[in-house]
Amino acid sequence: MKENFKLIILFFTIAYMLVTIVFFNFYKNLSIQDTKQEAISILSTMNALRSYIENTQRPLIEKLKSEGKLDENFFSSKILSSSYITKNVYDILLANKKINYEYNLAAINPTNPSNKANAFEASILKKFQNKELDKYFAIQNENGTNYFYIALPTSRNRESCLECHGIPSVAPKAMIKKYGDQNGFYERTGDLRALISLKAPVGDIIKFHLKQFVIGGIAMFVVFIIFLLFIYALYKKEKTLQDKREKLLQNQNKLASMGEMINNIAHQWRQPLAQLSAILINIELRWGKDKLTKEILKDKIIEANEQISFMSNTIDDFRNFYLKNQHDKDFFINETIEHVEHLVSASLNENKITLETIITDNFSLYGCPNDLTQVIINIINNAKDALVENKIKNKKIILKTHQEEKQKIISIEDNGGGIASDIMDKIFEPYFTTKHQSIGTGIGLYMCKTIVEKKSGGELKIKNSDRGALFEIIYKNDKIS
Amino acid sequence: MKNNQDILNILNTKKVLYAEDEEGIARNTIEILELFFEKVVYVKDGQEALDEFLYNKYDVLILDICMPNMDGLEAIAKIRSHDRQVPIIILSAFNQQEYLWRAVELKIVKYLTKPYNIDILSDALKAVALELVNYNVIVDLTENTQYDCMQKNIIKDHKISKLSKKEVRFLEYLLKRKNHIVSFEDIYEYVWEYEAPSKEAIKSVVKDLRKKIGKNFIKNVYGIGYTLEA
Repeated sequence: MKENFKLIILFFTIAYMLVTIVFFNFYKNLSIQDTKQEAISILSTMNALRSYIENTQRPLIEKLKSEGKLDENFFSSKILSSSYITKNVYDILLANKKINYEYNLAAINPTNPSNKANAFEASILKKFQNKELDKYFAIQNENGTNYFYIALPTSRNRESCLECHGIPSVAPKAMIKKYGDQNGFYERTGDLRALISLKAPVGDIIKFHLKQFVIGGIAMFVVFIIFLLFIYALYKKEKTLQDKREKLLQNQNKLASMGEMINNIAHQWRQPLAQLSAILINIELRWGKDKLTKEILKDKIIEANEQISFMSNTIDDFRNFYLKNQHDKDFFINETIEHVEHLVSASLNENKITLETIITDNFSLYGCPNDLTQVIINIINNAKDALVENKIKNKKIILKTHQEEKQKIISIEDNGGGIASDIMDKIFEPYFTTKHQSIGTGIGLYMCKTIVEKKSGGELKIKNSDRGALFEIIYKNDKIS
Repeated sequence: MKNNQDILNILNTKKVLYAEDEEGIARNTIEILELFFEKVVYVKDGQEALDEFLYNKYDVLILDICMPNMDGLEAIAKIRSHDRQVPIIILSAFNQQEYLWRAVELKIVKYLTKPYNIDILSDALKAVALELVNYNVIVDLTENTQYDCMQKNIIKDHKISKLSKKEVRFLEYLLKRKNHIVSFEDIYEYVWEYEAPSKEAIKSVVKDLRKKIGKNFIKNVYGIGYTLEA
């Protein structure tokens, strides 16, 4: 679950990043689109202004001149030059604008040389002239900076234009005086003289839309965080549930262990109890028949005391094993094996199961010997139940210890014919049991695996040998807790 | 009358075969049984019990269930295929149903679980004793003769005469097999065990019994053995 959770977080983070990139791109495009609309609108206004100057303002001045109300040599670009006027109107307009567009008028044959088109502008103008384009838009890179660039053609030459841009001899003297008689002449009506363009760094445009970007970004981040919290809450809930389940299992295991303990004590006590009762009956009958001599009574008391101390030792053994929390210590495996033999002998004898122990290597371990004892007993009990249930003849369990290089191995093998392959990978699951409800809780082997692998860092393996099931507890370190 | 402790006297001319693998329990139980029976023979497992039963004659069997080699119930099943009569007590640490079901089929007199107490044990022994005498502790032998199984007496016309151990074993063995001819060999084996008696010894026991009961009660079947006819 923990790995799973990390994976989900990773996935979400990547998804979040992708979405953010897409979002910012989309927003950038949107703001550029916006800016484009605005730029076209500005440029159209400029063109409209030019048209007004050319169609209305200029003919009116000519009329005033011809009526003698104005000096015939009057010329001022401030009132007659559409390029000059639009440039100045634009400057006024710009003062109120947030984006610092660079307005430009470019002509192949300008009156004012500063309006001369460069090669790039000239190529666009040519396309406009040939009606291949009616507007030009591009994001351009200049010296590492991206620029937003848009251009529109001005209106084509009219009759009134030729007053100033026709033949130099007809042009106003003041204009020639100002700009000379070399540039801006010999135009024809219907030709396209100029384009107007707006240019601004893309960064500026984005900066202008920064607020939207920030709000959008924050909104997405908030959604992302909410998602994460949601997933975390789910994960947390699952984890608490799992913890609860684990605790429940441990409790059940403890109960099962207690049951096992009581069972084992019952097995161990059966024989001395029967003997004690036989001793008492013996004494009572002899006394009743006047056949109880002092010697017999003394013998019987000694015999009874032996049985009582045996029972007392048994109960101490089990109490030490099940209830005392042992400290970690160095111990040899043969001690553990002997302890196991002692604790299970009665219940194995009763079921006519032979327990054979082969200590090939007597290695030492550091940790809690009771944990290991419990694991081995659990596995032996499991084998015992299987042998009894399957009514095996000459029931046998072989408990072996040996060392292979750095591996310390304790193996428990029975001759019960082995575990069916379809349940092989299920036997370590909690609550899995092949036994009748009254015998098995299914926690035993799960607990064994938990103790060996989670608590002691070892490995618990199961396979089938020629004879039956073969469990192996493998430790690679001396330290097992 | 059946609760009378005297019923247990029936057992004191009887031989019991006892099987148990736990030495401590066995030792004490043998000592207890010896207070009631004439002879206790002890074996350690089911196989030995079966062999011993088939080889010698026993009046009563007491067996544990959980024993090595052959368990008590298995041994009893085999014994029952030879002898439907012999009374059997089971002494077991188990009272699991499986064992009880198996025991039911084997015509067991009592099924005792260990540890048992003195009352339960003596009840079981009384039941066995009654079984041995077909629940008839005073047996009518002839019109005016009775046999008291508890006191081992012959009562003839209110006159009581005591029987010897051999006479008791001989008489009770024949009483159990009324209307059957009992061979000399069976009589030797049951009454004398390993002593290997002469024909004269049997004749002398029969003579004494005829004296106490009446002439025609025990009939001689020539060359084969003896019989009691009702």
